[in-house]
Amino acid sequence: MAGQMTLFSSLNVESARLARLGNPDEAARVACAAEELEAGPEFAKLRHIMSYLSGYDAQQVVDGVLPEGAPAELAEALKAVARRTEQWRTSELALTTLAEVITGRIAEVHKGYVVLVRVGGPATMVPRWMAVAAQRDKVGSLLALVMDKLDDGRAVVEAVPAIDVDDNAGTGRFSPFGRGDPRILSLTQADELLLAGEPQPLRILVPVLIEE
Amino acid sequence: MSEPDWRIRSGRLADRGSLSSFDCANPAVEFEVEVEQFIRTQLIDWATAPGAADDDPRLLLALVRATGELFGVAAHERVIFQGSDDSLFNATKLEVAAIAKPWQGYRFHTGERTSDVLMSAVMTDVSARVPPRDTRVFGIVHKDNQRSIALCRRCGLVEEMSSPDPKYRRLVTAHRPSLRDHNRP
Repeated sequence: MAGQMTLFSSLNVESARLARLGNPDEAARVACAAEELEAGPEFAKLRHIMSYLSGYDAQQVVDGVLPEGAPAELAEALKAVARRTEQWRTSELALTTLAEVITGRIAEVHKGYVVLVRVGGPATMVPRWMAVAAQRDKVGSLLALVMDKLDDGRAVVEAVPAIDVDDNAGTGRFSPFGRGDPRILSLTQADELLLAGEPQPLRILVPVLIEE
Repeated sequence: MSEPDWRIRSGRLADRGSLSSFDCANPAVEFEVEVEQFIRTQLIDWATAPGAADDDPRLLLALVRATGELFGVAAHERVIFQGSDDSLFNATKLEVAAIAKPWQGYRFHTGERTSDVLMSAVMTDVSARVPPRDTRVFGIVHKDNQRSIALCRRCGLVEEMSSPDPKYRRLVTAHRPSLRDHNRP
C-alpha cells in the first residue's frame, strides 16, 4: 500500500477549522499535535497493519468500516489511535468551543431518519441519509455528529463514523443472549424481504417427545 | 418400540443447580465460554423472568435416560421483528443450544447425534406451542463457531440475515421468496 495511501490524523481537520475561524496560533499548535501523533507508535502500528490490507479494505477502514475478516489487531490499533487523538483533543480546550460533538449509538432505524441515543443521555433524530453516508445506518452502530457553529442561528453538521474505545467498561459489547440489545432484532431491507417470504416447515431430524 | 437412550423435558427453577455446573466450553475459546457462562448464570432467570411470560420462553433439558445425566441444554422464545414500515414478523429466537463436553460429537447406539436430538427437541417444541408459533426460527452464532453453524444448517437454519455484530452471524430457517414486493405500499 506504500505510495498509494497516506494516513493523516483527524486532528489536521481540527487544525484547518481553527485556521478558518481565525485562530492561527492554535491551528499551528494542533497541527504540531497531529504531526506528533502521526509520528507516534500508535500510528506506526496502524500503518503497519493497514499495509497488509487491500486498497479496497484500507479505504473501508478510512471510511469507518472494519472489513470482514480484518485482524483483531486492526481494531485495537484503531482504538489506540482514537484514544490518543481524544487525549489531544480534550487537552486543547479551544477545540471544545469550536465544534460540538454528539456521539451515540443508533437505537432505531426508520425510513427517513435514525434515532441516535447518547450514552446515558437523550436521543436525537438524524436524517437517515447522513447515517448512510457515514456507513452507520444500522441499529447498534456508533455515530458522531460534529457541529460547527457558523453563527447563533446556523451550524454545519457532519455525520462521521465513531468507534468504541472504552473496552474495559464493556459498554456497547454485543451479547447474543437476553432481551436487551436491539441489534438482536434489527432488520435491514434485505432481511425484511427475506422474512416477507413464506416460512418453510421446520426440519426435525429425530422424532422427540417433550416431557413437561 | 424401545425407548430412546435419551429423554427431553422442560426445565424448571429446581434445575438451577445442575445448570450452574453445566460444562460445555473449552476455557481457551471465548465464544464457548460465553455460552457456558450464560447457561450457568443467567439461563434460569431468563426462562423464569416474570415479565417475559408473553414471550413464551422455553427451557429444554436433554438427559441420558439411564442415568439422568444432563447432556444438552436449549432454550427458545417467541419474538417479533418490526420492519421499517411497521410490518411485523413473528419468529422464534433460538436463545441457546449446547451439548455438554463429554457428549459433544457423540452418537447414541441407534445412530442419532446428541446435537441432532437437542435441535430436534427445539424444533418439535416450537411446532407444538399453543398458540402456534410461525415456523420461522433464527439463531445468533459466533462467526468462528463452525460446529454450531454446521449444526444450524443441518437443522434447517440455512438462510443468512444481516449480522447484528461483526463477530456474529444470524441464521434463520428457510423461506420461500415472496411473490410480491414487500416494500411496495
